[in-house]
Amino acid sequence: MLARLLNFFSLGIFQSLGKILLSLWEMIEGVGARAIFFWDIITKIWKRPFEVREFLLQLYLVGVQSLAIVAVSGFFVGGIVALQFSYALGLFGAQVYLGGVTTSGLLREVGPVLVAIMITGRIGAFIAAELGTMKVTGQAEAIKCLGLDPIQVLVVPRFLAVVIMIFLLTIFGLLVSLVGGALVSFFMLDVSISYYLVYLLKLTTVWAFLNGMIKSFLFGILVGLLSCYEGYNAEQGAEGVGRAVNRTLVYASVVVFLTDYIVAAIASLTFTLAQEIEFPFGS
Amino acid sequence: MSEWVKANVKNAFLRAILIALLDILYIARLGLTFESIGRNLLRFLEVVGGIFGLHIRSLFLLFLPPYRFREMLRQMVIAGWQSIPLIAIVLGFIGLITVLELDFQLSRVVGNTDYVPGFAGILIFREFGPTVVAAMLAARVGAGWSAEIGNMKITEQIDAMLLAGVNPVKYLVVPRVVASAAMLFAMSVLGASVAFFAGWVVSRADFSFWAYYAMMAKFVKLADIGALFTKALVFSPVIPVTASWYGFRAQGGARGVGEATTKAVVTSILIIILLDFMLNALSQKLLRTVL
Amino acid sequence: MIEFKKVWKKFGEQVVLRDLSLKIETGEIFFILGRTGAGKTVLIRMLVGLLKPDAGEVWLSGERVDLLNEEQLRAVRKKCGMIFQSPTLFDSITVFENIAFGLRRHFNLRESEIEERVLELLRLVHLEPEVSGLLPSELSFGMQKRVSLARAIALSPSYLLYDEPTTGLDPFTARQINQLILELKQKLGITSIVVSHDLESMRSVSDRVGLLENGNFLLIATPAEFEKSADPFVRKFLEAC
Repeated sequence: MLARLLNFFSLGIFQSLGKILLSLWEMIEGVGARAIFFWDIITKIWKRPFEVREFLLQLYLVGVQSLAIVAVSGFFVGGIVALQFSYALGLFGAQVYLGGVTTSGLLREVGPVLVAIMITGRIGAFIAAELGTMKVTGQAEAIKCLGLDPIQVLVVPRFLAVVIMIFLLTIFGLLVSLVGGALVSFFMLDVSISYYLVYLLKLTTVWAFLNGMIKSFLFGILVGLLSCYEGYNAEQGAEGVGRAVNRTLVYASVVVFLTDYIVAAIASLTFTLAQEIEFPFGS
Repeated sequence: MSEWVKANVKNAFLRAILIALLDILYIARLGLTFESIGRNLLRFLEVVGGIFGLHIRSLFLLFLPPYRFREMLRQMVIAGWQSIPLIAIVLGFIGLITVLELDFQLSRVVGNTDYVPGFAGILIFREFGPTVVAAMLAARVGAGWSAEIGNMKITEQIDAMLLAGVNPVKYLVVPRVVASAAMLFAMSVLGASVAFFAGWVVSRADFSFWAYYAMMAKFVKLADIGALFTKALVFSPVIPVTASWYGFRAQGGARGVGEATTKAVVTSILIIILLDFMLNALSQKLLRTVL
Repeated sequence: MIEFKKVWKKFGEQVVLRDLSLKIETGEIFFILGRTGAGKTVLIRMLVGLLKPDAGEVWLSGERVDLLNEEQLRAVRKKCGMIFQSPTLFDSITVFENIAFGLRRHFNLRESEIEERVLELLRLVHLEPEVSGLLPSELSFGMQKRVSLARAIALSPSYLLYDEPTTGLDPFTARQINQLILELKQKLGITSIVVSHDLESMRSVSDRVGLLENGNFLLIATPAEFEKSADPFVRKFLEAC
């Protein structure tokens, strides 16, 4: 057993390099394939007939299945953010900023990413499994043999439903998490209301909100694309479907964080160009 | 419900947010009423209760012989080794994002970014390290385990085990719990380090690594590292137990296994969030009494 | 009219179809017999573009199918329907919706017209109208096969390809299916290719038979001629079934 472990670690240097290059190439190929799939979906959205019934059904399923999850996780994460920031700010004596920093952090970062991850787990995996099962049982091929395009019939409605729902649910999740953060601050941290609000309006700009919205839109596209791609291209058998689900979860998570970073980087670079508007809220 | 909110919530800010929330729900016409919330809450509690029960059973059986060390090691390798790339990449990005955002926030709030490493360190070690790593492992490893055990259920292997007098909890769940604990520890440390290092890479240009480290060390205390380990320990049984619980209940062929997997992943992440909240709240309370 | 001209197909190192040529007349029912893995399914899949030959030409109704792209193939598939070995009905929707699937999307019909057509199709395959509200999982295997047949003919194709239509059915239901294939030819003038192991069906239904072995047709003949053949392999095949 020990010998096997050592064997495992002692791969030759060239073999390791070779493996890394191979997986890099596969990664590029994978990205390309998904990009082509994405373009395929986009061009077929506009083709008649549009699957109105299926689209509405998917909207309902995605929304209803995720609502409770987003609500619960949003609320408690809002609380967690408030607790952590109050500790950290406390070390610097800057507790006065609690309201602002919590809200801003939630709107820009935590909110969109949390909703994206939860929905990847719930809906992303579900769509991958559903489409994968349809592929493996030959239903996708049956659609082709009826002279129809499975992408137009199956993928487009689901993709659009995910994009729209992630966007809407992020707004919902943001609201819930803001409430959670506020409630925790009021009741557990004994932060008074006026104290919480002091810097909130100054630090929470419309720009921060936009930041979060752009992210959630991009996340929607990515999660929709990846879950549909993996499902549609699942390999044979129950194992193939299982692998498709696994890949969806892993790739979607990685890509969400990657996009999060890219948008954050671009945002901070363009910050000086962006106009700051005070949140129109009056006191 | 909105009537109640309008009448009872005095603070304008909170009231506005709650009304907005309720309006969205009304538009979605989900028939959200106190009854439906109650019903779903009960269902949720039932699931949580069942999972909690399985936790107790597996932790109890953990300490009874025979100990399947080989199986534990095998699960550790599967869970840990294969997850390293995922953890490294995701936590790397988190490190980048955290420092980027903190740079931005602090420069606007206090005007200087000297304390960024400290702030980042606190967040990474206390929060992102254990929680995000646990969530990622729940997605990757938990999905695999629930699929595996679900598959065993629908191919009647679990029944075969019971008939042979083998306790499936002892045989299947316990090794995975141990593996999960070990791996979550290791991955949390790895993840936190990667995030920390990545954070340095994008921090202000004049931060040498040691200056960055020193500033972090000023603010990150032993208690924070302790928090990392405590959270890893508390979170670790959640993943295998939840995965197994849903796996044991899989029905209806491949579709049932798929459903079990989905539910297992989402439920484990939710439970981890809840536990995280409770741990944070508890430590907050403790701090107050200590002070 | 269907024609294969010198068709070759390899999978890896394995040659499945070897310089194969075949012509099928309009209105014919042509049976393709052969051992498992002989390439029967591969051959008919080429007709609807699910597979492409490595060499040779595939002609359907005056068009070269092997050169068409996916979008053009969709038009072809409306003319040439395929019934798979396993029913592959859409398991999340009712029988009615399954049959109406193609109808709704290809034609601009009023709801009442769709209902009429679906009921007509159910009658054609000898199923009760009450079946239309059920889910595929609630049907027997034989009924599922008939629904998939109804779904395929909903688009009024001129050609139908059957992949082992009677495999897995009891003799009574198998005879019903065979009867249906005949009726479709007689009532609607559909040209059919049937891939099968079932000699009984061949005797009762086919106009011509082809035995596929080693990548090519060993023998193409009428069923009567087929039974009388002196070829040793044919005799072994007839005895085995």
